[in-house]
Amino acid sequence: MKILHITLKDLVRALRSPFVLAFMLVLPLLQAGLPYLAFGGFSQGLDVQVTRVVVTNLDQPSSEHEGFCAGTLLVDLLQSDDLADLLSAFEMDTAAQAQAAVDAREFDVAVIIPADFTTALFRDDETVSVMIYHDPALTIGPAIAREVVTNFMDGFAGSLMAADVAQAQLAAHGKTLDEAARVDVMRRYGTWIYSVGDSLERGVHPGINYQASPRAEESQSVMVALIGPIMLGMMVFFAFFVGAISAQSILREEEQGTLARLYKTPTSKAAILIGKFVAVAILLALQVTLLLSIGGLLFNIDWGDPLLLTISGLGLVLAAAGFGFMLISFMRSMRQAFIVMGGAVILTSMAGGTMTTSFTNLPYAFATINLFTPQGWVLRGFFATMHGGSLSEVALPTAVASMTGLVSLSVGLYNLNRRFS
Amino acid sequence: MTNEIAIHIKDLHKSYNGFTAVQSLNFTVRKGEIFSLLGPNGAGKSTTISMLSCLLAPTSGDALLLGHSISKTPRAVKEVIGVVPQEIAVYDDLSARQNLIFWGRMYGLKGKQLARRVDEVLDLVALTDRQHDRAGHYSGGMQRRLNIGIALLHEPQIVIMDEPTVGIDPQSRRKILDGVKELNARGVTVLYTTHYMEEAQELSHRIAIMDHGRIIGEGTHSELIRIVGGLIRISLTLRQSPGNLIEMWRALASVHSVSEENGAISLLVKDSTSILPVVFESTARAGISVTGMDVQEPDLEAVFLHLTGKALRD
Repeated sequence: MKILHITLKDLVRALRSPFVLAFMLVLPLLQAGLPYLAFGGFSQGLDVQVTRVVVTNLDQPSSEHEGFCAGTLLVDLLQSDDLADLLSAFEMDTAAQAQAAVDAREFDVAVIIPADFTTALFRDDETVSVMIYHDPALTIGPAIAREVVTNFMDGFAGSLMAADVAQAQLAAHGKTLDEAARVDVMRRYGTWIYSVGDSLERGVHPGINYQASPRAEESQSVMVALIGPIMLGMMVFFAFFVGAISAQSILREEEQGTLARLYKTPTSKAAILIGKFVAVAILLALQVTLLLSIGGLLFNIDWGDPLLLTISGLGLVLAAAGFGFMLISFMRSMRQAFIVMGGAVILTSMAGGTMTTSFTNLPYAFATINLFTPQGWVLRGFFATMHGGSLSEVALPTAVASMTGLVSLSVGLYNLNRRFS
Repeated sequence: MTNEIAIHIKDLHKSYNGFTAVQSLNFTVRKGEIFSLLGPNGAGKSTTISMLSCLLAPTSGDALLLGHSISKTPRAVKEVIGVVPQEIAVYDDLSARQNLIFWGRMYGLKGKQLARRVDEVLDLVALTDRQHDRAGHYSGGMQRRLNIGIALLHEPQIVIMDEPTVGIDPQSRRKILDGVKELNARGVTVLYTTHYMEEAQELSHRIAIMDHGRIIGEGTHSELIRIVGGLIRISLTLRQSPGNLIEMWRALASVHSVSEENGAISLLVKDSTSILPVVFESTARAGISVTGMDVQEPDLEAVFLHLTGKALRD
């Protein structure tokens, strides 16, 4: 029972310390949350502000080409629902009005379609210029508008070629293509290239049946897949920090005289040290549980099978608590502990790969070095869990991590026992 | 007070790294007695307390507290003693009540008994009104009182106090001294260490004077005073170096001893009225100005000076 009372006392004291709480929750969440927010985490994708476009269409329907007007088609494209997330296009009658609106910052970009736009597009010997007038302080909005216009003109050029090819093919068979049929070919080609372009933009060719495994399909956007390893690395890094910080209670009590006083009560030395270790372990378990839960709820990270995750989590708790106890047992004062402990945790965590969890092309030597740190083995267990590994794939690295924890704990208890005898 | 022995120390010895902190310590404390260990810093008082409270193992020898050996049955010893450490050993981020509950549990108290004792001790150390405030927000005196209260929770038959009044204001010091007397009046045996002569003199039934890890004098206050044979101490401060005056004064028949430390000269004499004119005359003849003088009747300071040749406060 005395072990329990010592544990409870240490837990209350630790949870009243802003320093411990900062290392336990605030810092790891900030470390993982900042990149998440930077990549537009809570808005489901890249968060780009809608560009305000003003369009002046001076183009006229061409009687030569069945009343076709390319300028109207371009305006329709700029105002289409498909581009609504990127652009909001509004028409004005004159170029001067459109430019004045941009100068007045009522709009970001003006797209001015010249009067002979359709005619020029149909003729090889004529060049045509669509003016894109924009606020010089902006880059992304004008680039989007330019890209849309460029794609339109590329598509139109392709349509023309398609119509020319169709005409040439029919001519070879002694047939002719009237203007209405020619415009129809162009429209059909335009529709097709538009759908292909749309598919390619999403990384999928319509001619390819691309299927991911059901597990990957459930999972996450690229951004979430990036945040998962970062969050994992930060959780492991700060768990080792919290392990060492909370084990410092031994030194703090030694300096405050309460440890000597505890030894003067009819309480065994073993009960005192075990009570303290259990407090560190419970604090770490709380930290890991909260961070995993918050990671899942807030960042949609899929940590993997709950049972395997629990096993990995226990490995982390044991490894970090044991490591903290061992470190503290070599320290003589809080002042010394603060410097040495910080250095030791940072060095082993870096070598263990907690800072580089989102890199996949690390040199072989690095992957070997992290086998010599408890953090490296803990990460292996968690990654195996996240990637749907089997029990044996998770259990092996977790067992090694747990063993390092137990060995460290034994060294720590041996040192502390000798020191206070 | 009875003739039964509460504490029996037998040839207790502690040395570490070639340094002897306590050597061949022998004394007994009777039940219901206040026994003080008086000595300067570094005399070995705290080492003795650490051994008696089973924090340090003696190099040799043993001590029995209510018949329990510190070497063989330390747990039994810990159950019958309450130790007030020199430093304030309380959890400053817990309230007084939380502190007392925790320490009470460490002494094996629980349930209603624990709650009753916590209330009683809070009352005893006058912290009932502030019991829910964090100890870190208390004044030094309040923290000292809580420090003492913790040692009394399990109603120990022996209370060991290691310089409990160090660094506190006179008012809090008075409260603590009165508290020790009250505790003793309830039949508790108190082993008290201090380097304040006045405290030892006021509180103790018997006093042991320690220096360099050994007891150099032991007895009641009057027994100890008798060691200096009723000698009076004359303390002098001179503007110039005394030169050969010290040798001259030593040669006088009524002067027992003369010592000089840090420019202050102490003469232990049998009769101050006959020696003072001689002192003034000799200093005047030597052209030396006397800038300060104090004449003290025999006290423990004089005893310490007599036994060690140096002042207790040094």
